[in-house]
Amino acid sequence: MSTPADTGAGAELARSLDESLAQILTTEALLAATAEDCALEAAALGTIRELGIDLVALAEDAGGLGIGVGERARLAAVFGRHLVPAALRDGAFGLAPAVAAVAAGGCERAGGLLERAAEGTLGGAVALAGDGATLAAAVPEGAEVLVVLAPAAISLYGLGEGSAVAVEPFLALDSGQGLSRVEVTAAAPFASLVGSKAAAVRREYELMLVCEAFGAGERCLETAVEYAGRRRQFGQEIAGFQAVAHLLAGAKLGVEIGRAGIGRYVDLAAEDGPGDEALDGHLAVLCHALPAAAREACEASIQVHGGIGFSWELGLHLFYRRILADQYLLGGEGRSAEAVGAGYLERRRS
Amino acid sequence: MSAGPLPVETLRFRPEDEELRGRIRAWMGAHDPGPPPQDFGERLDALVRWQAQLHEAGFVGLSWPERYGGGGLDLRAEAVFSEELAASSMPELINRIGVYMCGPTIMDFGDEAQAERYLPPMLDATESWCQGFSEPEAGSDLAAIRTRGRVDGDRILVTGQKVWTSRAHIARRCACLVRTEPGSERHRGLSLVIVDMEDPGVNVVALPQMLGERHFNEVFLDDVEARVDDVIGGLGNGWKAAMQMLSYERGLFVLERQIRLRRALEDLVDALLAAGTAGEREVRRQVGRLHADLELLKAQGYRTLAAQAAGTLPPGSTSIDKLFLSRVEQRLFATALELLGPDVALAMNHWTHDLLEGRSVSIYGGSTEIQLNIISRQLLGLGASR
Ligand SMILES: Cc1cc2nc3c(=O)[nH]c(=O)nc-3n(C[C@H](O)[C@H](O)[C@H](O)COP(=O)(O)OP(=O)(O)OC[C@H]3O[C@@H](n4cnc5c(N)ncnc54)[C@H](O)[C@@H]3O)c2cc1C
Repeated sequence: MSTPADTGAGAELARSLDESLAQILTTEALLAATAEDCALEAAALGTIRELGIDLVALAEDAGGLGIGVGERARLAAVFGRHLVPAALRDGAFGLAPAVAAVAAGGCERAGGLLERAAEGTLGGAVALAGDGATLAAAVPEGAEVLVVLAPAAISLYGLGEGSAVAVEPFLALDSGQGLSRVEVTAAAPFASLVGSKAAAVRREYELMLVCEAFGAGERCLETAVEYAGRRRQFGQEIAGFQAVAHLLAGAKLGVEIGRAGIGRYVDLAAEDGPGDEALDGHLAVLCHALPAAAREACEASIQVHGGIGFSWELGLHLFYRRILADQYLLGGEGRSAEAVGAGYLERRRS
Repeated sequence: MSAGPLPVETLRFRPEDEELRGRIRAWMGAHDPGPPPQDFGERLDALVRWQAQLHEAGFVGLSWPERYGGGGLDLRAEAVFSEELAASSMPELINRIGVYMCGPTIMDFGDEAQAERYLPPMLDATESWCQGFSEPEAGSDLAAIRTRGRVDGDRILVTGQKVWTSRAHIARRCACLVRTEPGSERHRGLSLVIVDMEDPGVNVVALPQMLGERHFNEVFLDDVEARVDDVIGGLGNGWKAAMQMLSYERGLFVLERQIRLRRALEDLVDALLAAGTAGEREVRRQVGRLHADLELLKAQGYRTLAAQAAGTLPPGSTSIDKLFLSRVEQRLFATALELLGPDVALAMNHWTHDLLEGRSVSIYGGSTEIQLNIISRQLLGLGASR
């Protein structure tokens, strides 16, 4: 797979998003949405979409920014730092590129949806197909499309009135995201795409979940480092206690190894040689290890904060909820390890 | 503290690197000498011959300037060589301390005369090197060095004791950290002096390690004569040079080690496939965790080399490589014993050997606790911990 070279446009966008999101996605706003298990105010959601996030994973000829995978990874990490609502994340990194891929295959209806995606007016949901028939997806109000991403296939289903897709919201750990169980067994997709282009969309969506978790974990670590240098007990900063410092250094290890892992993926994607198999193999490693590292960083952060870390008001739990959601959308520690192991054993056998 | 860079660069191989890989592979195919002999002395001779042969073929020191006998290429080439060497039956350079640690430090801090004199014989292993840092009272706290170097005109007379000195018994040269400024304390007043191990004042005493093997030694120094001209980086600048050398120990060195661990995982998986247990869920999970560890260790190694090549390696960052290496290596062999079961775990074999040997990784080159201290201070900016 070849990737357009990183242009720098994404880097600029990452910086401005970082600033803007900090203003919009305040801890208070996020806490309120989580407590009431409802989406953020429509105005806030609209403001975020106006920042142009729906264009980040679209190629230029699809009306998007045409930025490279490295910069998209960085943007996804920024999403994670600010806990951008899951539906917006999925819209940008799953829905839009999936619709674009199907449209490029010649589907007219998808072409129409793509235009609206690029305008930032399309609502939809994204689910990763797994072992079972029931899938989990963040379904925003008014969603019209459901994208189901199987390893090498994209299926698009209509949602809303008359749809045979069953959508059942549930009380989610990462609440306020509209997480729902969806069943598509009784429904027929209105469009689909099979093959390497579809595989690329799924791959990248998974990578973005990984990067989101990474960004969230890194932010938790930063918060803890800052706090440890400020909080005093026994007449000194708690950062001076080796047990505290080493806990944070251990978390830093996971974050930096994760950063190297993402860097390697981006470099592999830019190479002509290795092909999809190498990317799949490395991605499986990232899906396993990075959410786990982010989780460790978040847990360390909670610990280093003491009582306030466990409090509702500080909001570290918001990061914890999101990281856990990312980890389990990707199968969880054990299952993701199994996927890595099965792939490796298979390659070794042959 | 704010968000770190994303994405970071890792090593990317170009067509010419792949071409080099092909050449090395072909050469190895024709010249691989087979597993080294068991007998210690014979093994040593074989390893020295092997490095000389590799050098003659033009593969040792690929990133070093040609005027010092190197290949005039870059760190990508060095990584390619390490990876290919790891696939041979003798995956080790006998003078790895010289080639990967002392040599680069001389190129960074030494002068031209030192480079011309000392670098070429490192490459063909005619002169092996050792690292004389640790002392009985200066382990983790390396700045507590007591070994003295009395400057007398253009000579330095070195007296004291080093300990845990790997391969001192086969080394011709030692990069020896000594206190050359009388009355100085801690990091000041230290110098990194090249000591000739054949000097009559040098006494090397074997210190068998956990497995009974002769890996490291005590080195007693009694008025050993060295030259002021042989101080790497100049008198009084020893700390800086020593830290650089330790950083190399945590860099390319780690990449090389990682490659050998990949082979161990392959062996483990082959054994599991042969035993018919590879289909079990727990086995797949454990293998998956190990493989993920190794892929990430490699990614980190490539990242470090890319930064080193670009001259942008942040101080303290190679502690990440070293710390992760320790975790991965220890976890790998512990898991191997678990998966292979009591029959293997009760016997003395290469699995149990490597499990024991793995305990050293979290001690040498700065213990795990010291790496955590470095990460806390240098990468996280946390204050107090030493
Ligand atoms: C296989 C092997 C090869 C070696 N080869 C060489 C060589 O070639 N040349 C050379 O110079 N040296 C060599 N060493 C020595 C090695 O560098 C030292 O063993 C190491 O630095 C630790 O020092 P020490 O043994 O004195 O332990 P100590 O410093 O006494 O440490 C004992 C324990 O205390 C902990 N500790 C110490 N200080 C702190 C602190 N501030 N905070 C938290 N915990 C702390 C340590 O982590 C360790 O667990 C080698 C060691 C090994 C095992």
